[in-house]
Amino acid sequence: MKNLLWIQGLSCNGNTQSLLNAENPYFYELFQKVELLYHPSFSYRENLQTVLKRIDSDKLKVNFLVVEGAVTSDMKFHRTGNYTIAQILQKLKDKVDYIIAAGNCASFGNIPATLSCNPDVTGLQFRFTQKGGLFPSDFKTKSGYPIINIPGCPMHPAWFTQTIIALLEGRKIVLDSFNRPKELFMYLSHDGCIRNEYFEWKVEGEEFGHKEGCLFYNLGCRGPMTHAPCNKILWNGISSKTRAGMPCIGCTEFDFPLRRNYFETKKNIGIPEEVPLGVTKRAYLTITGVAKTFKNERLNKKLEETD
Amino acid sequence: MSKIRKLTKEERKKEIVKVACRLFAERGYYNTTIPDIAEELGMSVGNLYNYFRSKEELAKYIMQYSSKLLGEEIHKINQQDIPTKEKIYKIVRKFFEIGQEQPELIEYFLRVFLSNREVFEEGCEGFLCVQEVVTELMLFLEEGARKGDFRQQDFFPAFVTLMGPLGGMVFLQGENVLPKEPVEYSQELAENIWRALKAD
Amino acid sequence: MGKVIKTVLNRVEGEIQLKLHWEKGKVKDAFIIAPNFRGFEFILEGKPVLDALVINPRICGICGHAHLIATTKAIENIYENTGQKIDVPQNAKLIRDITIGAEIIQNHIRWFYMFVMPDFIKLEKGRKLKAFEPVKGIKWQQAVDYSSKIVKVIAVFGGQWPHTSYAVPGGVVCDPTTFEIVEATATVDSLIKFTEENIFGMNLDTYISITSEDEFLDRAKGSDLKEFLFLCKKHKLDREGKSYHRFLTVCEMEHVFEKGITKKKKKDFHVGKVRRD
Repeated sequence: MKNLLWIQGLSCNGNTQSLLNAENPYFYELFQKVELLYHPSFSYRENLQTVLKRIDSDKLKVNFLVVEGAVTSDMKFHRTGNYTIAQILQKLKDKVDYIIAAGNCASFGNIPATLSCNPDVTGLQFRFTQKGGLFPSDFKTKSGYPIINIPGCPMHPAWFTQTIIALLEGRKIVLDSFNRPKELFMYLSHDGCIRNEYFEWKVEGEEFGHKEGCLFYNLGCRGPMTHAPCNKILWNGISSKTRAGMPCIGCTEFDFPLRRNYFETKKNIGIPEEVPLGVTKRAYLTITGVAKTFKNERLNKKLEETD
Repeated sequence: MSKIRKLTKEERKKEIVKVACRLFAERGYYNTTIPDIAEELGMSVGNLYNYFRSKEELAKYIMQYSSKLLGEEIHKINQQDIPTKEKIYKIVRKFFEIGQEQPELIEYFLRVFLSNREVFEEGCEGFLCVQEVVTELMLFLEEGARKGDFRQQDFFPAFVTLMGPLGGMVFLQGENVLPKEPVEYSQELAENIWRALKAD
Repeated sequence: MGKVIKTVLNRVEGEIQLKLHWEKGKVKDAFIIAPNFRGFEFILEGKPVLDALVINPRICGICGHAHLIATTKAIENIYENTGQKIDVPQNAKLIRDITIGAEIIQNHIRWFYMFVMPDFIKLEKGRKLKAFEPVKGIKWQQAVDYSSKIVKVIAVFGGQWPHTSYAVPGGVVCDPTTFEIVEATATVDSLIKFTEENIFGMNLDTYISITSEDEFLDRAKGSDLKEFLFLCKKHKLDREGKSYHRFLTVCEMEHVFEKGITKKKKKDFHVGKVRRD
C-alpha cells in the first residue's frame, strides 16, 4: 500500500480539521487506501524524528508528503524537535513521490507570511504572487509534478481526498499556473452561487443579514475573481459562505490575505476598481448600465414576497 | 455597375440623422413628420421607412448615434497616456468641437431629448441610449480616482460636475448670449472641472 | 543531569516542549515552550478593524469560531466605548450562541476521542482499547462522523466550518429559512442520540438529573465517559494537577495577573490571589 506522511509548519491545524469533515470519501476511508505514516495530531505511538531517521537511511520510502502550514528556516519561529520545517523539507524533497501543499499557508504563505519581522516565511513553491518559495519554481518531485497546491483557508476536504485518490489511481492531474488542480480551480467561487440572479441584474446588497442581493458590489465579495469550486463542491456538504450571506474573501488565491477591507468593495468614484475575471471594465460597465435599466421585479422584493 | 458610388446604408442613415436632427430641433418633435424629413432629404417617404420604421425609432437612433460618436472620441482620449488634467481638457474641447461641427446634435439633445421624455420612455430609459458616453466617463473617473488624481466620491455628483458645465455652455450658446464660441472657453472650463474633482 | 527538553504534546498548532533544569536529582526550573510563532497580534497592527473578523479565526483550526465570536464582541465593545450603540437583535444573539455551541460540541468530541483517548492505549498495554485506535477504531471513526456532523450547524448559519466570518458587529450575515433551522435542529437531535448512546450511556434527561459520581457509574451502560473515569482513576490522573504542594491549578486568571497591555517579558504573578473554585 502507498503511504502518506503529514508534517506541519506554521499552521492553525485548520486543514487537518477540515479534512476530518471529509465525506466522499471519509477521512478514515482515505486512510484505508493509503497508509498514514505519521500525523502530528493523530499519531500517538509513532514519533516524527524516528520516521525521519528511517526515511533518511532509506529504510522507509514515502509516496505522499503532505505539508500543512507556512514554512520558515528561522529557528526562532518554528521548530519540530531540533529541526525547522525547512530543514525537514530539504531532507525529504528528493525522496518522496509527491509533495502536496495542504491549504493556503503551505501553498502561498498566507497569514504567517505577512508577519513583517520574519520575511523568511513562505509557501513551498510560491510566496504570494512571487514564483519560488522554499523551493525554486522549477523544482519537481520524483513523480515529475511540482508541489501540488490545494489552497484554501482552509482547503475543502474533497479537494484534498480526491487529489490523493486520483494520484493513487494513476490519473494525470492538470495543474494551473499556480500549481492548483485545474479541474477543481477552473471554477470561480461565484459559479453556482445562489445569489447569481442578483449579480446578473445588478441588484446590490447594501448590508448583511439578507437573503437577497449580490455581495459583489458593496460588500467585498471576491466570488467573480476567485478560483475555487466552493459553490460546486459545497462546504460541510451543505452550504458555502456566499450562500449564507458572507462575501467570498478569496482565500484560495495566491494573494490572500494581502488585500484589506474584506467587507467592502473597493470603488473609485462609485465604480468598482476590479471587475469579474474575463471581462474588460468597459464591457462590464456597459452591461451593468443595461442590467440596471431593465429591472427584474422579482429581485427587488423580499424572496418571501415574490410570485 | 454604376460609376457613381452609391451611398452605403450607414452613410445614408447618417445623412438622415443630420437632417432629421435639424428639423426636430427647429420645429419641435411633434411638429415634424416623416414626410417632412423625406421631403427635406429629397427621398420618398417609402424609402425613408426602409431605414426607420417609425419617427420614434428615428428619434432614439439619433441619441444612440450621438452617444456613439462622442463615446468613441472619449474612448480615444481614455486610451492616451497623458495626465488626468489634460484628459479633462481634451474631453471638454472635443465636446465643443463636435458641437461646432454638428450643432444639430446638441440642439437635438437640448430641445428634443430633454424636452420630450415621453418619446424616449421605452428603449431609451436610463442610460440606454447614451451608454457609450456614460461608460467612457465612468472609466475616465474611475481611473482618475484610482491614480489618486480625483477625490473619492459617489459617481453621480462627479458625473454631473464633469458634464453639467458642458451642457450649460451649449445652452447659453443656444440662447445667443455667449460672446465667444464655447470651444474658446475649453481651457477655463477644464480648469474649473479639474479643481472641482481633484484630490486635496 | 542538566537540561532536558522533551516534546510532550503535539496536537493542534505545533509542538509543545517541556524543558527541565535538573540539579542534584531535583527539578530546579521548568519551562513550557511552544516553538512556533505566527504573531497574529503583530499582523493585526494597522489593519482595518473589521479585517480582524477574517484574520483572527485563523489563529486556530479547531476552535476558530470561538475566536470569531470573541473578535466580533470585542469590536462591538470598541464601538460602544466610542459612544456608538450596537444593538444586536435577539435572533442574531441566539444564532451566535447556537454556532459557538456547535463548535464546543465538536471540540469535546474531537478532543476526547482523538486527542485524549488514544493516549490511554499506550498506558493500557494489556487491555483492549482497540475501538479508540486512531483512524482504524470504530469509536474513533464515529467521533469523526459526529464531530463533522455537528459543525454542519455552523455551515447552515455561517456557510462553512472551519473559518467562517459570518458574525459581524451588530449581528450575523445570515437570514435562515424555517427549513434551514430545521436542518440544524435535526442535526443537534442526531448528536444528542450519539452522546446518549456512546458518551453518557443513558438518556439526556437522566444524565442531567444525576447528582453524584456513584450514581452515574451505577446507571451508565456502555458509556465512554464511564470508561474514561475508570481509566483516569486507574492511572491516578484524578490526583494530578491538584492545587497542593508545588502544583498550581489556576482557575480564575483575572485577579492573578495585572490588567492591561504589556510588552514586558515578565508579568507580576500574585500567588496570594490564586483561588480554587
